[in-house]
Amino acid sequence: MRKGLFAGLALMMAMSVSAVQAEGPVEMRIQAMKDTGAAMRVLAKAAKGQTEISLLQELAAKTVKKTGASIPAMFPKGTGPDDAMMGDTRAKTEIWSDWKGFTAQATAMEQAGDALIAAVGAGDRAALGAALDQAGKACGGCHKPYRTPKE
Amino acid sequence: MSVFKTAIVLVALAGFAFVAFLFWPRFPTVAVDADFRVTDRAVIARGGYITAAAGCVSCHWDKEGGGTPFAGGRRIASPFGDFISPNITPDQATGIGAWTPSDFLRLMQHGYLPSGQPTFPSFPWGHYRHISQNDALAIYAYLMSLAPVSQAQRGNELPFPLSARPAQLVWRWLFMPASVDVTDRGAYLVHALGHCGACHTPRNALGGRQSDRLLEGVTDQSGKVLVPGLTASTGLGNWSADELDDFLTDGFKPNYDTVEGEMALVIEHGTSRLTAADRAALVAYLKSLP
Ligand code: HEC
Ligand code: HEC
Ligand code: HEC
Repeated sequence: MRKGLFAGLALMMAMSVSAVQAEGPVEMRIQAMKDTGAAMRVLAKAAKGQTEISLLQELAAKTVKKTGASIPAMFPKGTGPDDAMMGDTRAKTEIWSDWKGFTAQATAMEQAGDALIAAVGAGDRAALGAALDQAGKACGGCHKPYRTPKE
Repeated sequence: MSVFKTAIVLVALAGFAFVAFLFWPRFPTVAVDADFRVTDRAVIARGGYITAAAGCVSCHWDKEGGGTPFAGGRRIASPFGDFISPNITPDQATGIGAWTPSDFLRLMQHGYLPSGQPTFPSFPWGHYRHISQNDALAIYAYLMSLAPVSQAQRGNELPFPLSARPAQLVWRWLFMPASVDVTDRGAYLVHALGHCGACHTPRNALGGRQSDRLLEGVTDQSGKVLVPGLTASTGLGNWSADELDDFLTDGFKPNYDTVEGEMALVIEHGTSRLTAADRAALVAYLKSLP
């Protein structure tokens, strides 16, 4: 538990530091995505029984939900690949031409976040595994249609 | 006849002989095990597993175009032109229904079609020839157990002279990659079935694989990574065995980013379907590469 608390603090610090470092909307959302990835890893380790379910997992589950909820706001109009000064974004123009489909995936991620929070709260590894699958589908379900593959 | 004329005739004859040599159909000898039964259920089941591990369906399925698995029609782009994968369901007219087990072994072990002409290396035969005879026949039995789909072959879209199959013989002679030791189960899964090197091993300008740089990844001229390396020094050094196993099961990288493109298919149709023991062997082999 002590260890978990410590790691939780470290994670929170890392996240607040990164929030300060990030500047433009693109850097900010990329950082949020990276933090979400780190959170998912923390949850996956617990689901596999490699670590205890503790405060760290609680924070991680909340991070997934929070990112899901803030995705629509992280992709304002004018931050696409064709917009000036946006630098290296892999966001596709389809995000804005199919805004409904895009936000539906964000909602799916938010709901998966709820399932994660419930599973962590119950300390239930099996439920955590199922919620992770649900969250994972939301990640891939959005990246595939709305993110340009690395070239 | 002057010496000059004689020389011309000789050169022309040699040229004809060479072209005839290239076009001459080839039927390397193969020997099908006497006890092989194409309808043996146990063999078919094993064949289904081997076929998944070999990732055949990734190429032989036009998923985006709404096609049927194994019925082909997928466009596979290469720097030399586009290949359109053929139908490998057992349809008599448009698939491989008329192929004998020997025809199939000749393709898998020697890279020759029933017509006696060589296949293009877009069919990763340089890797598949390491597949054991037993496994190759099991794949055959599995394919023959599928429902036949009538879907005519569209043919490759290659420019001449690359489109001429005999040109393949010259290419093979120049670039035939050295064979790899696949006695270790993990090495067998990586090099024979998984054909990981088809994408992860760098190639020379003419598309020949650089056998001395197995699985070291592909970069463009500017050094940008196109396909990451799989050896410790070229890519996977920071991955734990566990992380690698997870990635090959669910497609999430250590930073939990989702996998993309071709590799997503490799995982979906191939590595995620391996038994835990086989995947562990594959991972252990990759982690052993310096
Ligand atoms: C509703 C859409 C959506 C969902 C859901 C989503 N992402 Fe993303 N993600 C994106 C987009 C778009 C980008 C590219 C952003 C850019 O380049 O501007 C991205 C980028 C990323 C990146 C790459 C950051 C980098 O280094 O460039 C990671 C990692 C990532 N996401 C992780 C996740 C994880 C893990 C999940 C699920 C828990 C997830 N994402 C869910 C849309 C989404
Ligand atoms: C990387 C993509 C790829 C993979 C993986 C692949 N194939 Fe193919 N296959 C092709 C292409 C392209 C051709 C056509 C080659 C040519 O025209 O010479 C082909 C040809 C064939 C043919 C000859 C069919 C005919 O009618 O000429 C057979 C049989 C076949 N593949 C079976 C398999 C089996 C079995 C596997 C798995 C063990 C497999 N393929 C995996 C791309 C692939
Ligand atoms: C058809 C081409 C292809 C084949 C075959 C293939 N890969 Fe990949 N692989 C890729 C590509 C492209 C990427 C980059 C994907 C990405 O960044 O999301 C990749 C990425 C990877 C990665 C992640 C590496 C990193 O540093 O991000 C691993 C691990 C991997 N492949 C293992 C394998 C193994 C094991 C096999 C054989 C069983 C294999 N690959 C077969 C194309 C292929």
